[in-house]
Amino acid sequence: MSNPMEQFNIQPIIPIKAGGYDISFTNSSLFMVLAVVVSALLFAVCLRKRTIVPSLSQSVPEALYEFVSNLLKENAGMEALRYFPFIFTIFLFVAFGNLLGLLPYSFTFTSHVAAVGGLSLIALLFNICIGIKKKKWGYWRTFMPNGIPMALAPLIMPIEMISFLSKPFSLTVRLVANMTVGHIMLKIIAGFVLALGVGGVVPVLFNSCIVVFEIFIALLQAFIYTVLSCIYLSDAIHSH
Amino acid sequence: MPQLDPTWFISQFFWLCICFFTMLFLMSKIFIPKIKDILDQRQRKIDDYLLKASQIKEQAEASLKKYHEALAQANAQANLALEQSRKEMNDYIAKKQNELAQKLNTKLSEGEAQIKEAREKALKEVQSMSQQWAMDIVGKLELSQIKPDDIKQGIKNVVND
Repeated sequence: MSNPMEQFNIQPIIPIKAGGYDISFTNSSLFMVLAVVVSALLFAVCLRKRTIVPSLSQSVPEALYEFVSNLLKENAGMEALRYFPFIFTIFLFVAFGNLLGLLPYSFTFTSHVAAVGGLSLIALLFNICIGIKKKKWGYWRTFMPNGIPMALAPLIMPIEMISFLSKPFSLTVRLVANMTVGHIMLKIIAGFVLALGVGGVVPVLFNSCIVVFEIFIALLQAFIYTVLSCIYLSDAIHSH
Repeated sequence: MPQLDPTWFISQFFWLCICFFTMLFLMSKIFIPKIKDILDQRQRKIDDYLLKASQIKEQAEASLKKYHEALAQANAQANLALEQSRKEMNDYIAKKQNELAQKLNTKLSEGEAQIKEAREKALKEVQSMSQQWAMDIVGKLELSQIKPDDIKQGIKNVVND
């Protein structure tokens, strides 16, 4: 039985070096590009003929738009709708990354700390930029909750900062852990298929069920990631 | 764990930035405006239909109100006409009754006068005949002491009683 962790190995496809840094195009990069290409193609095809009464294909991007838009309105208010493209892109990028990773012989870039952590970092920086743009120097009040005496500031502010910086960390760990565990489970069960011979039908059936479950998990994790991003965005806009 | 191998961190982050911002650009500049545009068009269409529906409803309510007003007016006119007809009918009946009563009274008076005349005539005839018969009887009985004037007076008294 092969090592279930092998599926997470990064293989360079086009080696690239720039300024002493290795920015090779890898299998992870390929699936990131595929996530962009597939989502763009899907949207382009579905929105080819736009009609007032939507066709089945047109209603797919519309439903996604309405879904993420409602999510943003519920979690961050109407004011946050100006940042809808960012949140919508996060949702699609994570969802397509998760779903493409479920295809046989594919690579799940959302199971990698660097990719998801990078995305969380982008979201964090985006929130900080919005917070500073909106509140200027008052943004520092984010780390000093209302009603706390100034004497406690040296104690409270570092705690609040750690809490603030742990947000992308928790986002990353949640998504990476879910994706990693799901794929390891699929790989281990798939390893039993050949080992059991005719009895391998059982793990095949079991794996089929797990795949359906994993599709659900992939969408659920994209949803959770987006909801939390909306909440963090709401904190940047409305906090304290 | 390959996930924790820092060899590919920079590469992954680099390609993540490229892919994510490309996707953000495609979404924000191409696809989201397209979806937003069609959703806005649909919303405008729905709003238009709702507005039209509310206008038609208002028109229908106004028509219904006019219909009720016209119905009430027609009823009032009908009642007025009915009342007028009834009054005219009553007046006509009263007039005809008066005319009939007058005619009957005239006829009655005429009848009474005719009866009176006939009665008087009959009495005269009876008186004349009685006188004739009494005079004939007196003549046949040769009662000379009874004079014709006495007979006349006697019969007249009897008839007048």
